[in-house]
Amino acid sequence: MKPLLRLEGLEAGYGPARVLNGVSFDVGRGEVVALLGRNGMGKTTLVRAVMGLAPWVRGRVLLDGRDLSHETPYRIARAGIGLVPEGRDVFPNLTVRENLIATARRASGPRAWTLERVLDLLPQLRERLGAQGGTLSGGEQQMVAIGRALLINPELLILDEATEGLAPQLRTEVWDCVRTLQAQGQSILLIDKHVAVMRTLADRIVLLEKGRVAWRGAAKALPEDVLQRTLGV
Amino acid sequence: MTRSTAIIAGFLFVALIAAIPAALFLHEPYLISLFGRLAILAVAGVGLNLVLGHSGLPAFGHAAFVGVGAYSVGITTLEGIPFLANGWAQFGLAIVLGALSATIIGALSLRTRGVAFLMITLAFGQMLFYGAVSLERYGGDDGTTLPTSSTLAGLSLERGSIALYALSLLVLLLATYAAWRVMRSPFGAVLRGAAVNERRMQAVGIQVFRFRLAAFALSGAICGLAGALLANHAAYVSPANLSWMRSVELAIVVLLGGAGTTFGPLFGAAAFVLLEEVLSGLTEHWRLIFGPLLLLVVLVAPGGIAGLLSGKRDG
Repeated sequence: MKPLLRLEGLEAGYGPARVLNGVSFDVGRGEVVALLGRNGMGKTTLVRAVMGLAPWVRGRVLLDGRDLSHETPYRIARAGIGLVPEGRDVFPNLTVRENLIATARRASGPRAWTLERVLDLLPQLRERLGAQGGTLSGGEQQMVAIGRALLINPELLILDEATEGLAPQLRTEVWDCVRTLQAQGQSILLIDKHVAVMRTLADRIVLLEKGRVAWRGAAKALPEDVLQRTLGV
Repeated sequence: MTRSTAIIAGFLFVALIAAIPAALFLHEPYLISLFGRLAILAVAGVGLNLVLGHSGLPAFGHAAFVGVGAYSVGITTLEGIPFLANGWAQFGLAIVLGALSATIIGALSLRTRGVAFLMITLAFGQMLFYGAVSLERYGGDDGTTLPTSSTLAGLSLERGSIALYALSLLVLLLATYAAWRVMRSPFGAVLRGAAVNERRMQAVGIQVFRFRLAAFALSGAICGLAGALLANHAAYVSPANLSWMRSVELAIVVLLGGAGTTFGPLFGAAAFVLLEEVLSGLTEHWRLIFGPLLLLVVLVAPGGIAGLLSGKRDG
């Protein structure tokens, strides 16, 4: 089966510093893939490279067979990749409603994301629609960032450290949200530090070490010794 | 926009309307001329505010679009071109040419950022300024007086007339409402969001350039309309309408009133025109007082008058 996202020999970095050294892996349709690795191993750089936000990129990024390697960030997003960035990046001067609908893209079909469907998924936002983005709690900002990404009706959703800095209860809410999306067939690339949860939540895991894929395979098949070696857990 | 700023803006607008009977009763036509200038400056401020305020782009050549609007009226009046000699055509032409020139200048300048953007908009503004200077047929550097005024729906928009003043107020009201609606739409939300973080907006699938270009064109159209009013208000057009000093005035109106606020241009124009009126009555070096006052506002209330009135220093 043709993968939804395919990375082929992806290299990226900042100036002379190379962070990714030829990363290759796939994300299938309806699949949740967790990208794990210690700090500084290239997870966020990989996300930036996929989204066209890294200063330089070599290799290929293919979405449903379409080469996005040299596209601008907005074209990559329009091609069907929704990003929930590290740090949430909610627009502080816009209301929750504006944050959600300003960048929304209409789609047709029963699975198309609409504001109403997003509010059904993230009910805590319903009463905060008129609040300014800058006044939201960390958890609320995370939900807005997820809702905003869904409303561009992405083929692939990327969550970069979506639970970073959140209280345990809020982390659970984010993971529950991911499970709901997974059940609805949404393809997701998940970057998260919580290995134990990722092993149960993800279909497959990709382990990054020093900008290379150290291991990849079914989440349940992840060997303990590899975990110990790459993540120290 | 807070309730208090809306109420104060409402009172200010009613005061501008009340100037009509006051001028008639007191036999002070100067009031109409003074407040007419205020209203036209506020209209141009509404236009610039879309770019400088809401979109966060330091445009520095918007007087050029005001000048394009003024010369549209001036040239069609002087040439007496039959199908362009009525007010509807003249005002329409001012809007279209204002938008067109802004689209061309925006298409080139919006590819730059920060100081480069400021300098390029200034350079384009000066190009149009010197273009107006070279129009020897229309007075060159000195400009030219207009023998007749525009006529709209049978009303002659003569210099100092109630009709022109009422039209200026109506345009100000409509422009302010239109700008408010636009900025509350998803289009406006993109502009305001991109002002905070353009890269973030691109990462969620928005080609910011197109949105900014559309805002620039709309801004030029409103400034062009202000220019058409200005040509009738002064019964005179000159390159001075396009000079960088006028662009500075417009920027002061927006920043003084509150950049990126609905009623900022109205407050800014009122403060600018009234302060100028009062201070110039005291001394011919009134700018020596006005400058530090402006500096004080920027330092104490970066959100301008609208920010102060809403209780938010930063607007």
